[in-house]
Amino acid sequence: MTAFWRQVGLNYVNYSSICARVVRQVLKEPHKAAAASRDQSLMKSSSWENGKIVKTVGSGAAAEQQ
Amino acid sequence: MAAAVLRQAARTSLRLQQCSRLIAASHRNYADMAFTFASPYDVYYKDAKVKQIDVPTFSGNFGILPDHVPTLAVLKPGVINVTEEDGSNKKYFVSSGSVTINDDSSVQILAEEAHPVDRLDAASIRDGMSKAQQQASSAASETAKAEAQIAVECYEALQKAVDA
Repeated sequence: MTAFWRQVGLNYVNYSSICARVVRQVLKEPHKAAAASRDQSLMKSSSWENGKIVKTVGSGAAAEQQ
Repeated sequence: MAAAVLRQAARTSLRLQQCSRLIAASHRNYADMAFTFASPYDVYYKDAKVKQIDVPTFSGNFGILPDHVPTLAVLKPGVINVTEEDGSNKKYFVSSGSVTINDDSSVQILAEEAHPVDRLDAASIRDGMSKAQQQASSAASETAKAEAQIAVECYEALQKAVDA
């Protein structure tokens, strides 16, 4: 009985980060502001070709909302 | 004759030692459950002594008492209810994470986001829920749909937590 998200190729880490983002967005102030700083991009990776950046991919809330 | 008496004495004291070791072993901390519960940013309990912990996991919602069978489980969005030594109940909402119950009765709950239930805002939950439901119905790819459905499930758990 696989979870529906596993069937489309997501793993628990993806699941966890989506749930964590949801929880951060429903907190009361001032906790919400404190949590917002945690929601930012943790990693950014750029692929290069011929000495120029071709594509940049970030992780974190910004990427999830795309 | 004296040698025989001495030997008896030696055997008796050895028996006494063995008995007391057995008794000590059987009094192995029956009421102790070292409970650790934290998220990366907040530590709520650290090797604390509590009576019971109720956890929402993918293997079901269960209560953990001292001497629970060793278990590894993964958290679902939901409320963790800690019954402390004095009988009071503390509730925390967790987004996700893991539960580990060891052979020595120690319990570790590591959550990605964990907050006391009174930090949740009911209005934001209702708004977020309707937005997530819209996203789920209008999603383009299977992946986007699954992601939106995960968010909807999380909002449902949040709604339940604030309604209670």
